[in-house]
This record gives sequence, structure tokens and C-alpha cells, in this order.
Amino acid sequence: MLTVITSQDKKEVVFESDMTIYEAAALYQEITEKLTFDANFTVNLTQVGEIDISGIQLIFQLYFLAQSHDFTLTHISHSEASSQAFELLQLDVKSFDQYLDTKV
Amino acid sequence: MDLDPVIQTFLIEAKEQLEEMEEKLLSLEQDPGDIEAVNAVFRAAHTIKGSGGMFGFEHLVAFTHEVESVLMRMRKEELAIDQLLISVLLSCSDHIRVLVDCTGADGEKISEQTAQVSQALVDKLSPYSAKGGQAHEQSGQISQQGGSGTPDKSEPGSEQGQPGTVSDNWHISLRFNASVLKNGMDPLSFIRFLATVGDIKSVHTLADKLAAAGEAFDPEDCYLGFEVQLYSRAERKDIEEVFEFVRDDCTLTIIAPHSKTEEYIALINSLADDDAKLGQILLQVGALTPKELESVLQTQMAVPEEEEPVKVGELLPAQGVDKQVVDSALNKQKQSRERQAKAKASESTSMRIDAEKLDSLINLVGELVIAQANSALLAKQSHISNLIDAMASTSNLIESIRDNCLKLRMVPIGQTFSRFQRVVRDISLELDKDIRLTTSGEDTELDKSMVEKLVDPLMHLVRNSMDHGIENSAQRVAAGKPEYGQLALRAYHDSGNIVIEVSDDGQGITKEKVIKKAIENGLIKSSKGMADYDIYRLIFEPGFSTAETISNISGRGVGMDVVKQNIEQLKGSIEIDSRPGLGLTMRIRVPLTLAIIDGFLMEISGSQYVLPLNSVIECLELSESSDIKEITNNLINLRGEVLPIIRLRELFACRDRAPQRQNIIVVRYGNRKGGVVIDRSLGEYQTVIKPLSNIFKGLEWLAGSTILGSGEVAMILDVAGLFKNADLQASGKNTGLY
Repeated sequence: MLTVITSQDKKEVVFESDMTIYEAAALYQEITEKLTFDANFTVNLTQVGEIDISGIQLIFQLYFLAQSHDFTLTHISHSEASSQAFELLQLDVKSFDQYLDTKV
Repeated sequence: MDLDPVIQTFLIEAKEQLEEMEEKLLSLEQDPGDIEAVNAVFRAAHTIKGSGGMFGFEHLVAFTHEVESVLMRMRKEELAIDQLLISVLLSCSDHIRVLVDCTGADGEKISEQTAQVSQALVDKLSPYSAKGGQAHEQSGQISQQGGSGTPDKSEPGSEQGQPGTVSDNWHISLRFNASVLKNGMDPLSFIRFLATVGDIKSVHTLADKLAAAGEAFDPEDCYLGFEVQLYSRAERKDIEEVFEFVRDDCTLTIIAPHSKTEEYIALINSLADDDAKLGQILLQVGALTPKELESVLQTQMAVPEEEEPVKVGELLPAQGVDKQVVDSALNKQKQSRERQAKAKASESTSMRIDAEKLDSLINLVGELVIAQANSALLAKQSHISNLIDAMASTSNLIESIRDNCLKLRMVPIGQTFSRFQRVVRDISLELDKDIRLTTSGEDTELDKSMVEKLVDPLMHLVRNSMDHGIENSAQRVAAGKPEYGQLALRAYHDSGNIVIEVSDDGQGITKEKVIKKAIENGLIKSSKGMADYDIYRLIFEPGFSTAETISNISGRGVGMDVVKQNIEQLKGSIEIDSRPGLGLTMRIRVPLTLAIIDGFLMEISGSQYVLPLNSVIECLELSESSDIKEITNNLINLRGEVLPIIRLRELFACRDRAPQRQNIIVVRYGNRKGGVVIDRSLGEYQTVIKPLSNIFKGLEWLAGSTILGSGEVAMILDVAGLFKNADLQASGKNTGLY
């Protein structure tokens, strides 16, 4: 469902399934198991066929978790579905920074 | 629910609104600064649109919406009101009438042709509408859909023009419950759907809850909220409907754009005075949706009793309703209540009653009058004084009932007069003459059925006056008259009759022209010995037309005789008062009602007859000791006034001997007076008019019949007919019984 690719200077989280409410719990489970926040990382959504608010929340959560470890999410590569959803909500990685103020 | 009666009410009310709309548009043409008239026109259009929408008459709603948009600009004084604009709006009001006629219990049936007219009118409106060029594209929906879409949902895409400033956007705040995702709803899909009612200008995702969740994050809960800026012409309700399915799982706040706020305030101010609650007012103008109101009311109810109750007005801003709008509505409510309190004392309420019910009531009262006459007669014969007294008071009561019943059918003629404002306006434009109509006596009441039957003759007289009577401006100036022609409609009571006058300050009827034409058409051989009055009356003869050019407005020579016939059918008459070079007055005289009259009962040769009491001036005895001593050549000398006499005994061919002492009833009809010789007068009598069968059709001097208390039948005489018959008799063309 998700793979974390770690190379020398790059860390990428690749989501390999849909990111809807049906997969949300399992995906989050995998994130907590497979991902360690020890470097900046990118997210690859190119294989995501369907995404809903729960999927977008997961990306947010990834970002917040990274931030809490003093790292950050640097880039998101999109599939058509994810790109549409992010466009609709006018979201991109850069805009995530504005949410830092809201972090408690 | 059976919608038919509801739709009937809609149809009646829509027509009333349209009448009001037309009247106010016409007055606006005269006084473009009359903001009250603009409000009234707007209100009418808005009401029709609103009620039409309730029944789903989409085409009607869509078209009226376009008209309303222009009216809205007029109210904001963004548009100069000129004759051209009023003409377009009048055509629109006519077309709305057509569209209303196309609706019914089975929906609206718009023909392709009607849809084309809608489109053509919307095109005409487009230069006046705020969206200018866009209107064309948008209005395309009206004819294409033929009633399957609302223009409100149109999408003013950014490619079409100005996207609007921030203040022109709707602001929608969305806060979802945590369980929304588990309930199978995806907030994303609702935002996606929102894009179908407008153009999403910005979305701001709120992630503070998510950030705060930290370790406790549940991936199946929803933490995100959204603030959306939407540019849309949709109504509040339409936007709320987008979230219909997720309503229970979210907190929705819709804040109207700045322009909408103004619109709501304007709408609130234009609302009719009504004892509406604050929520209802806001609901009515669309500033609040039913669901929002419900939620506000629930919040209000939730306040514990021991605490001070919260006012709805205080809770509304939380629902996204602009405070200015709430304040306007509160003001409106206050004003309405004050005005209503004032009006309540004097205001009379009205109700609609089926005309048939009224007719049957009047018929029954007619029968009651006859039965009462019978009882009174029997009481009289019984010589029991108590019974006679009791019968007398019953008679008085029944008389009051009769009068009140007849009044129920009475309507003021003003409505009919106002219809002519439009006619005069349109014909003036067509003839290129400047003609102004003044009306007076609009409050004069007459029987509803009479009013309806008077419209056609009046229309003809008005058209004639405008076409033939009033000269063009060059001729008028040359004649030393004002450049604009004046036409007046006047109504008033005159001795039990209603008189309606159509007068103009045109050229009047030229006697010579009438004589020439009448001789040409073989109506007369020469005018020798003819009085002016008789010469003028020639224009009522069939086939007479003096118009030098035949126009499509009047002048085919088929009208005036029909006018006369119509008036005569109403037991009325028409007089001509021509002042050559100065003007013409046509005077129509009709009885108040056709059902029951006050009659004057009399006897001739053992049979009883009735004369309408309102035409009776006095009763005199024909004897040596009286004012009238003798009849010479069918003329009497009444205190120096020579009057013609009608001998009813001769008219009815009575063969028995006349009594020693006969009576003369002096009667008046129009501007003529005369005497009627009878055997015996029996006094006043309430007369229920019963129609005569066709056998009596040729006898113009019979107005009808009535049944007396004794069960006998008495003929009702028509005074005008009697005189006319006497005239004919004098000229040797007797239509009497022999």
C-alpha cells in the first residue's frame, strides 16, 4: 500500500493504492510503522487512483509529523486524481507552511 | 393535495399583480422619478416570480427574473427611465401575462413561439441589464430549456467577464463533524459540487484541529474545515442545497456578498406590510434559508427557561446573515406593525366570492321580495293591524337586504378606466399624436356584469375620439389649441343611472359632413327639418363612417351601431354632445343594475305595469282642478313647459272605456321629459326584473316583466323605448300593437 524509499540524500513516501476512507486506517498504520522522521522527504501520489478528504488529511498529518521532528515535506508528485483534488482545495506543499502557526 | 384551487389563486393574483404593474409603469412614464411606482412594479414582478417558482413554472420564473434584474437597476437608480424602457417593460408585462396563461395545474406549456418571444424580449432587455453582453448568452437558457432550468444557477465564469471583487463573492464556512467520513460522505465531493453553482474563487483549508490532534490522530475522523469564496448569481437557498446531504454532519455558514446584502435590504424595504416575524421576512427575501431559520429557532428554544430569552435577531449574525440586513428587517417589521396598527381600525378586509354564489343569492333575494309582496298583500286583506305592522317592518328589512345584496355585485369603474391608460398610450404612439387621458369618478360603482359589457363600447368610443376626433399636433396648433390632445373619461351618478362620459377636445362632429355622408349612404334623403340631435344620431346607423381615411384603429363604419346596440342591451342610452371645432362628448347612460329596481306600479285597463321609479318626476291628475287640464295634439302644458304625451291606452289598444279621471306621470329620460297617461297610480313597488321571451323582442318599450305579490304578471315599461316609439308613431312608422 505504501513504500518508503530512502536513498543517500532523498526520502520518498510512495502511496501505491487509493487514498480514501476505506484505506485510511491501514495507510496510517503503515506510515507509523514504516516511516521514521529523520530527514526531509517527498510524497509520491502518482499511483493514487482515488483520493478523498481522508487521503488529504494523511498528507497533512505527514507534514505535521515531519514538522514536529524538525523536518519537512518538500515535494508532492501527483496523479491526475490527486492533482485535481489539490487544485480544487488550492493546496500545495508551499501552502502547507501557513499551517505551522496553527500547530500547537 | 389538490393543487388546482391553489393554482387558480395564483393565476388570479398574478393577473392582479400584472394589472398593478402595468398601471405603475404607465404612471412611471409620466413621472419617471416616482420611486414608489418603481418599487410597486418590482414588487409585482418579484411576487409573480416567487409564486411561479413555488409551482415550478420555470420558464415564467426565468423570464420574470430577467425583467426583475432590470427593475432592480431602476430601483438603484442605475438606469434612466425613458419611454423606450417603459415600452419594453410593458411588452414584458404583456408577455408575463401570456406566460401566466400558459400555466395550469398540469404545469406550464410553453410553445416554441412563446419561447421565441421570451428570447426576443430578453434581448431587448439586455442593454438595460447589468450584465449587458452576458445577458444574451445566459438568456439562451430560457428558450433552449423551455422551462427546465433556473437562470439563478447560471455560472458567470471568469472567461465571460469580470469575476467580481471579493465583496461580490459568497463566503461559505464549512465545519464538518468528525464522523462525516465514517458516514460515507466526502467533504471534497461537496466542494466539487459547489463549483457547479458558481465559480470557486478561493478555498482555504483549516487544519488547526488536525495539527492539534497530534498522536491522537484518527485517520477515519475528519479534522479539516474550509472557508470558500464563491462567485455566483445563485440564491442562498441554492447554495445551501449543495450541502443538503451532509447538513446533519456539518456546520454551514453562508455569508452573502456585499451586492446581495444591498439587494436583500432593498427587497425588505419593498415588502408589503405584513405582520411577519423577523425570520419570515428574511426567509421571504432569501437572506435566510428555511434550514438556517430552523436551526436559529432551535438554538432559541434551547435556552433554559430561567435564563433571559435570546432574540432571533441576535442569533442571526452567527448564521452568516449580515447585520445590516437583520437591522433592515427589524426596521421593516417595526414600521409594518405601526402602519398595520393604524390601518387596522379603518381597514376593511376583503374576500373573494364565487360570482355564481352571489348570483344565486341575488336570485333568492328576488324570490324573497316577491314572496314578501304576496305576504304583505294577504296581510292587507286580512285587516289585522298587528300583522300589517309586522309585515311593514319585514318589508323594510327585506328592502335593506335587497340593497345590500345588490351592492355586493357593485364594483368601482376605476379598474376599467385604468385599463384605458394603456390603450391611450399605445394608440397615441401608433397614431403619432400626443394624447393625454384624464379620468374622474373612478369610485363610481356599478354592477360587475355591466362593467364587463361596457368595456367594448367604451373602447370603441375612445379609439374613435383618438383617431377621428383629436387632430394631429400641427392642426391643433393651427386651431389655437394646446399641442397635446386631451381625452377624458368621467363617471358619475345621475338620478338612478350611471353616466359615463368620453370627451375629447378635438374637432367634434361636423354636421355638414354627417349629412353629406348620410345622404351618400342613402340613410336620409335630405336633412330638412332634422334637429341637430337627430343629425348627430345618424352616426349610430349601420354602415355609417365619416372617416376620410380608413385606419386599422377605427373607421370601418361597423362600430358605432354596435356600440349603440351594446348600450341598448344594457337598457342604456348614448347621447352625443358635439361642439364643432372644440370637442365631442359621448355620454353613456346605464341603469345601476339589471336585477331589481325600485318601480312605480300603475294600472291601465285593469292590468298593472311598472315604470322605473328613478325616471318618474311627478304624478298629476288630469282634471279641471289640476295643473294639467287637457291634452292638445298629444302635448300638455306643464306650468309653461310643453311636454309630449304618450297614451298607454292607445299603445296597448285597450278597448274598454277610460275612467273619468286619468293620471299623468311625468317622466324623464336623459335630457328629455314627457308625460305618460295612465288610469291609476298604485305607488312604489320593489320590482324583480324577469327577462321577457323572444316574442316581445320587437317591442322596445318593454324592459321586462315582474311577478306581483298576487302572482299576477306586470310588464315593466322602458321609458326610452316609449319615447322612441312615440317618435316613430309621429313619423308614421308605428311599432305598437296595432
